[in-house]
Amino acid sequence: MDNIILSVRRLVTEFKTSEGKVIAVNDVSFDVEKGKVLGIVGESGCGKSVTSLSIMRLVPKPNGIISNGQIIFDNKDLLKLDDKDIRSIRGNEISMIFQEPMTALNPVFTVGFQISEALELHTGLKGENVRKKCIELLEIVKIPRAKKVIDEYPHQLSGGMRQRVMIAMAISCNPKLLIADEPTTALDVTIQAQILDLMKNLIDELDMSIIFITHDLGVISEMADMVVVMYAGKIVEEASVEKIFENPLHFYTKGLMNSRPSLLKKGDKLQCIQGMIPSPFNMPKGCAFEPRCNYSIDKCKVEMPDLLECEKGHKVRCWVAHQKVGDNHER
Amino acid sequence: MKQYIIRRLLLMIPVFIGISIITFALIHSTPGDPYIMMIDGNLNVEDREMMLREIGYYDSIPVKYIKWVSRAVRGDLGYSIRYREPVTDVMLRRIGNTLLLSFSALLISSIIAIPLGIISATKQYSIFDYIATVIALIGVSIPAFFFALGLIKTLAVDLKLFPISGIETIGVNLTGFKKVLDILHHMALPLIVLTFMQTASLMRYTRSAMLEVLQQDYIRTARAKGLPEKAVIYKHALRNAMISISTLITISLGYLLSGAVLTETVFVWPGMGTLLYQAVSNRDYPLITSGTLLIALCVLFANLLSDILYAVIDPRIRYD
Repeated sequence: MDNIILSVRRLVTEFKTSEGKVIAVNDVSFDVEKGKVLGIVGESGCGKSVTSLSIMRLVPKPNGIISNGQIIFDNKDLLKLDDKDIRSIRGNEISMIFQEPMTALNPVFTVGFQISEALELHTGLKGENVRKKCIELLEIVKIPRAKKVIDEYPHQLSGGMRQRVMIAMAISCNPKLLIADEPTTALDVTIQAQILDLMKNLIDELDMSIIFITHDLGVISEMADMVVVMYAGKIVEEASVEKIFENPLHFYTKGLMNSRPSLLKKGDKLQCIQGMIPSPFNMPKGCAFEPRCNYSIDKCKVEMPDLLECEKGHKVRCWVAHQKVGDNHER
Repeated sequence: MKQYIIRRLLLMIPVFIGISIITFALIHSTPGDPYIMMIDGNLNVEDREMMLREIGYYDSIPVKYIKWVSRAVRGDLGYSIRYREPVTDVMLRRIGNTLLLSFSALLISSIIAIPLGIISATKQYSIFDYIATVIALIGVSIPAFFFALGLIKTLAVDLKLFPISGIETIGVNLTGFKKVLDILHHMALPLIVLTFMQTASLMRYTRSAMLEVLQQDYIRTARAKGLPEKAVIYKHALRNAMISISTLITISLGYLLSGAVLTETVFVWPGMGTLLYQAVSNRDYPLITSGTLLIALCVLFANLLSDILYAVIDPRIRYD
């Protein structure tokens, strides 16, 4: 287990709302290996972001509650740390990049100030040294005229530049784990490619692990080593990136694969998964994907399948997939 | 920035001229003859008519206005009908009292309201929040004169803790520190009224501004950096909330400088508010005109101040 940097075990995160309790993350477990990239895929509202916020203990209070589970990082259960200890980890050993670079930076402070805050807090650097380090960081994330940009305000920068600043901020204290929550979703395609390139270089240079959250399978295939597919708060499939793309087992994953526009010829109709994600107040009794699944069997309606290993290192939560494996074994 | 301020100051001139025309025309279109009080009742009709013509009573409003302006630019704002002395003298005697009262109220209420609003927002729906918002709701709902009368009845008449009205004890000639204490004693009740009402609205405003800012993504970023909650709230959130809070403070500055007419009148505080109230009831045209225009000027400057503060607090706003 030495090569595991983060281990999430049976995490349950709930939100209190006026209509009742919503379970956003339901019994989720996964590991992140040292120096590897774990991709989390799923559509909006499936619990990807809440999972990452739970790891940072940043689930909005007082309505969001992590009601069960363990998050083991560096032999410590992050859920058991007091506020002071978790703060010394945030931005230092685990840092995070968010989806919206346009709003994730504070508009009234300079870029330099916002980067140096984390540096001063966690590294004890002071004065001129902080400034030097800031410029260095801005250069690492390939911001041109770093010496000028450091004194500029976020509104003077483009979206791509702001995301670079966010990355500079996130890597400032050499974190062991970086959580990137849809870091390229809000950017246009050319900038996306640049940011992904930058992040790939950083992985090689800085020797950190990454949790990469996205709904873009193209990005996953480029970035991730391991992939976790989430649906309605639960993991439905988990495998290496090669296995997921070569042989997706869950019908939801298959549906996602088929709905990629890159598979189509010009003029073809886009494939999509029928229906909508179920309402969190009205979850189906059985498999959460059953109402949208064309291949469901009777069992799917009544009982939620477990996440089982079907091949070595390939787990799936699907009765049909389980049955096939069972058949194979019987033969 | 300097250029912007100069440009704004120049722009204030046509606005101010417009305001002066409207106020002047409105005041002088009101019916009635206030000069009757100035003229000896024993005078015969022809002499009276002649005197009225001489002081310009029968001039048309535009002519009156031009005459008034040509005198006003030379510093002569006219002669108060009621006080029988130059308007400038009357106003100069009063404005200090209003400045004292309004700035004290603004300062104290800001010191109380902003921290309360922040705590209320960060502990939303806590008992503290409920109590603070209910009191603030009372503060913004209760009419100033009613609250003032309530204080006079309980604290001044029944408990005899404070004097009922005025600015100093009449008939006693105090000097130095004793005089200061005497004024403070008289100031307490009007100050409580103004401070309470101002605190109530500022507290509510601070609370909602903070609540909105605390929802923002950059607050989550600040927390994700590992910053202590104090730095998140007092540095990252408050700085952004201050952009809108500062507007409310400067706007209420304009209101308070106009003398918070009702409060001053109830306590007979000898400031601009009471003066203006009396001027209106006495149809003291020159005094009403100048007093109203002074208020307009205060509001104009308060607006300018708020725009300048905007640029100081919010780097996204640049006036070059």
